[in-house]
Order: sequence, then structure tokens, then C-alpha cells
Amino acid sequence: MLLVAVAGSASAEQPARTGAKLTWVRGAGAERCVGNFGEPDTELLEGAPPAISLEEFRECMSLAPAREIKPGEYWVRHPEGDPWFVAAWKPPGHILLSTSYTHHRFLRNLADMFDQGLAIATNFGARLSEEGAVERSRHGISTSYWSRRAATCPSK
Amino acid sequence: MEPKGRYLSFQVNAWQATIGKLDAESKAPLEYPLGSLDWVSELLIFQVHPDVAVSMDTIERQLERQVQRTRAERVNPDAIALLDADNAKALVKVKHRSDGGWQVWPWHGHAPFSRVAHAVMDAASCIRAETGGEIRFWNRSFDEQLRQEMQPRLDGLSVDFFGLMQSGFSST
Repeated sequence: MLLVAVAGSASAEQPARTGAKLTWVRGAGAERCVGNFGEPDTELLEGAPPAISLEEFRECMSLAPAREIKPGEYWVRHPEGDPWFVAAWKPPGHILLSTSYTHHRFLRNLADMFDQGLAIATNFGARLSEEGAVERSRHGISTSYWSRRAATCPSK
Repeated sequence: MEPKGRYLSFQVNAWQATIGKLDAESKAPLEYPLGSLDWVSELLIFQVHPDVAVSMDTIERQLERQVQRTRAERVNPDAIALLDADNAKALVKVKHRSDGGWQVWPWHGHAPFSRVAHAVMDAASCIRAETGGEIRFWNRSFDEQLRQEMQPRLDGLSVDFFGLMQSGFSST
């Protein structure tokens, strides 16, 4: 089981931002999935259970205060009523949570998204981790960050 | 997640840099990321082409009176910020251009889009009431019909408004 959280990335050529992202992944094909967002983390994939099916994800999201924007992608509202994060199922069977840096309540959204990610990952028997980000802006911010938060989710 | 740890510090810095970018480069937020994108070019810019010249002092005073629950602050000789009267959060930027016109657009990153957007539209209308002339919005006249059409659409999210603009709302 694997849950991967990917923080935003941007390059000098493409300064458009990516919001903080949280993904959870289980099983077969997960390495390829993680490769979509950054370096594959084979350590986190060890012993991963079967992939999360779209049907499982939909069942999970049916309980959430969320609107399905397109098949397998939901806009989730925070319990306080305003926008929180995007939850999207990605083939072959992982889920990406993504929250916007431009939301005026980003810090609340980020912290609460982590908690929610842990809860959902636990429900799926998935693992939680976080991949890093490289940010270079024209405002003098040049930060490079890379971390993984493997095994922060208790697996069933 | 350590409150003063490296991870949260990175996220706070990234968030502050992004909000700064919205301000410095006139970008609009998307409350829900669209793929990898969570900001776009500003959508809600009004240009007031005045019939008569009106002083900054008058406009500042009228904005504070006419735009609900706001207070005006002169941020430089030709620019006014409208702040939420309850919590001092920035909502609207007003610029008196060198050609005599007035530009009104959002100050994003501190309040929900609906709060900002209504204040922006009301500020443009307030200035137009003082100066006469015409409000322009995306190369078309912002007349009463367009105002009526747009008003309910400002109650939603910026990301929804962006979708409306993309689907041709601006050319209706």
C-alpha cells in the first residue's frame, strides 16, 4: 500500500504553479503512477496491496461533501463550506488529492487535507507519503525541497 | 507535521510567494486546481472612461460610502485600496490612470472570490456614477444588461467564473 503526497512543482520554463498534492496509491502499477509526479519510490511500493478501483473510490466519495466535476474527479468542500481540494482517481488505481496555493485559506486546507488523506488512506489500507517540490519564481523565491512522508499512515 | 518544521516552512513560503504573484502580476486564483494550474490571468478588470474629471479625494470618499462594508485607503497618489471594513482584508484595487481613466480590479488572496468580485463591480459602478462616461469590461460596454447578467455569477467561485469566461460569457 502506498499513499503519495506530491507538493507543487514548477520549472523556470513553465512558472505555472501546481497546488500541493496528495496521492494515495495501492499496488500494481503504482511505480508507474508515482513516476508521473516525480521519482519512483520503490521503498514505498514494497508490499503494496491491490490498486484502488474506480468503484471503490466512487463509493468513498459518495459520502463526501463533493461534486463530481468529471468522471473520477471531485471538488471537495471543507466542513466550513468553502473549497478544499480536488480528489481524482488515476489509473491504474491511485488517488490524487490536490489543493490550490491561491486559495486564501491554503494553510488550513493543506493541514486538513493531510488529516483527511490519512483517514481515507486508512480506509483503503493505503500508505501515505509526500513528494517534494521545486519552486523558482521571479520574486526571488528559489527553494528546493524534497521529502517523503512514508509510513505516516497506519496500514491495516 | 511539525508546526515549525521544514515542510510547513516550505509550504508557507510557497503560498506567500503565490499570493504575492497574484498581487504583482494581476493573476486570478482558482480555488480548485485545474490540472496543474491554480491561477490564471486576471478576469475581472473594469475600465471606467469618464466624462468629467473627479478628484481622488472625492472618489475615495464615495467608494467608502457606496461600496458596502468597505473602507478606502490611499496607497499612493493615484491608487486606492478598498479593504473589508470588518477585518481590513484587501478586496479591490483602484487606479487613476495617467490618461484620466480609472481601472478597477480585484486584490486577490485574502477573501473569498464572491466578496472580492461584488466589491470590484460595485466600485466600478460607483466611480462611473461620479464621473459619468462608460464602464468597459473585456472590450464591451458594461451596461445594465451585462451587470444584471454578471451579478449572480459573482456569487460562486473564481474557478467557476473562469469557466464561464472561457465558454464565451465575455462575448454574450
